[in-house]
Amino acid sequence: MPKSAKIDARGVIVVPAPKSVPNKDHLHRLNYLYQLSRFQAVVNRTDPNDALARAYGANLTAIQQRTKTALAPSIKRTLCKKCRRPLLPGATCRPRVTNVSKDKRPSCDLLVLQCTCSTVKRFPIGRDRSYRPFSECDENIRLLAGPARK
Amino acid sequence: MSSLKQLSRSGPRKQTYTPILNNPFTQEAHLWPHIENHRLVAEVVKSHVTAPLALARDLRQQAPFDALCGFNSIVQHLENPPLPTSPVFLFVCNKDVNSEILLAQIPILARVSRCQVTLVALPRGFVANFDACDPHHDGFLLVIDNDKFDRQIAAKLRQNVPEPTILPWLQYEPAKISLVASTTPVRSKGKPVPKSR
Repeated sequence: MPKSAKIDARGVIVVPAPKSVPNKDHLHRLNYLYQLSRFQAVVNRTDPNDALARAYGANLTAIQQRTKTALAPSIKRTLCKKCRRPLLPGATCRPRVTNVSKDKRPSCDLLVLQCTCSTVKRFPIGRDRSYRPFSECDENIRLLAGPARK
Repeated sequence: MSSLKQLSRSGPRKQTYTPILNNPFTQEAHLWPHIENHRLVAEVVKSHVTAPLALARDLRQQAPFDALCGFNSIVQHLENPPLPTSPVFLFVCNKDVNSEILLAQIPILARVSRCQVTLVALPRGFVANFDACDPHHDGFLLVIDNDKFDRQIAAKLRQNVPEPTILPWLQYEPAKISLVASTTPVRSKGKPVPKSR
């Protein structure tokens, strides 16, 4: 450890945040695919299988796994893990609040998102209503200096 | 790490930054319409929507207009609106409902639904008025704008609530890249770990 390194109160070596991000192209590509997938799911309602939306979603997942790129939980929540369909309430998924506890305790409230392919995502919203994932807490996020692309 | 002994044994840690792609459709301006005169809207809703519903509930009478409370019943109505479809007002206490996942469903549902939805975001603390209407409201109240609902009140609400902007998914949003600050243990490059025989 160099002597000039700054150490904070928790004993962590403080490193300044980088000004740019490596392999930005992957992130731009994933962003484009995500938006394309959602666009197809909303606009192209004539196809009951959402083939194009699912194809873009599958592409997005494949590239994300190959390039080991991190996606925010808000993106991952809106993609079906089985059929890769974008989960849009009212269009491709059915959101419901359920409570299976005997005395219907509010702490046991579950938000259930059921995809068209009948896959279910469950979120225990009653346990901690103000819960936010680590990567969505403001204190853990450093925004880059400017917009990524104009 | 639970004990002080383990804490003292743990080596130095270093701050790291991981690039992460954020959801491009999380701009609140796109999702929730900004109401300029929110005091007037809150007063109108309180006096002409929640108060009559609370009174009808107290007197055990039928509500003066068609209203739905609770997340599930509202979502069911928006997914399959009864024919002929009539426009609806969806009042949401988005400042009082803490669950972000629950709230995130509503603006998209309002845009995707076949019936015309006027989304009215109410100020902080308004959820107390919903309690008198229905204990299982979840912070959501839907009023169907049919013949039973006062035309003047509906017009006043529409006048003060702005029309929804262009659908967010019809416009390309640039990538929102941010860095997640985390820590990792620092590995010493000096002595190699001796192999156990």
